[in-house]
Amino acid sequence: MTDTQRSSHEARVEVHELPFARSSNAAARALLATFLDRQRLDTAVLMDASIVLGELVANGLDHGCPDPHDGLEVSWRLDGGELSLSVLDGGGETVPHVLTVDQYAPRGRGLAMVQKLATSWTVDTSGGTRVTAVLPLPQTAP
Amino acid sequence: MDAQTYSSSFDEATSLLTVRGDIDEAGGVTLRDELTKYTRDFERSIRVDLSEVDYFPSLAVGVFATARRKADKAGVELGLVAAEGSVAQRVLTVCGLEHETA
Repeated sequence: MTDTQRSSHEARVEVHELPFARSSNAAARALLATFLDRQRLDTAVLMDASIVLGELVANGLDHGCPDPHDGLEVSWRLDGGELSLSVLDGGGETVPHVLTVDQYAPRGRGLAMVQKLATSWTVDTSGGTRVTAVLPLPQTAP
Repeated sequence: MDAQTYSSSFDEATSLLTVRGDIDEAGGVTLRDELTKYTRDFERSIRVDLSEVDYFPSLAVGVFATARRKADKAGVELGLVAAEGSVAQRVLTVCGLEHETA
């Protein structure tokens, strides 16, 4: 299930429904890479976006349950100077939050990484759990 | 950017473990076992070159954080090397894990 739209003000959006499975992490990052390649974005943006998406997908699989389509929805939106990355699962027991961990902690760094790489991130639990992170894009030369 | 299978090679002469590919769930387990094996259960110091790793998630950071705790406790060194511009260098910097940029 893939949907690409281009609205009048040049926003580019892609939505993908993936299986609720570990393999979807690499699949989501591959789809995002293809999308960003087409937009001819800087490789540094691609690197950060891939890191962030990987953490959001891993969190959805670790803490959420499958959505009503028995999967996990990933989407991105490129609009002006921003790239939004969003992952929607069927909801979980907890609301995603940033943990403070010491340097030896075996886990718990995912959202802290997202917070550092993104300009902002939000959680919407109105229908499942949707976490959206917004990444800045380098300004293109005039 | 399809999934790149984890692979590694160890140079006994220099005690350098070079890791490539994706450190995903499966790769993370292999990496953890290899760190134990090549440090001889944290009895000798090694360095790990992560410059050619394609995917370095928080899970991978956790593997190194746990291993470094064991290394510090045992009094051996677990040196991490990540070239400037590599994914590992970006993630290790963001997470504040000590490493050298080669």
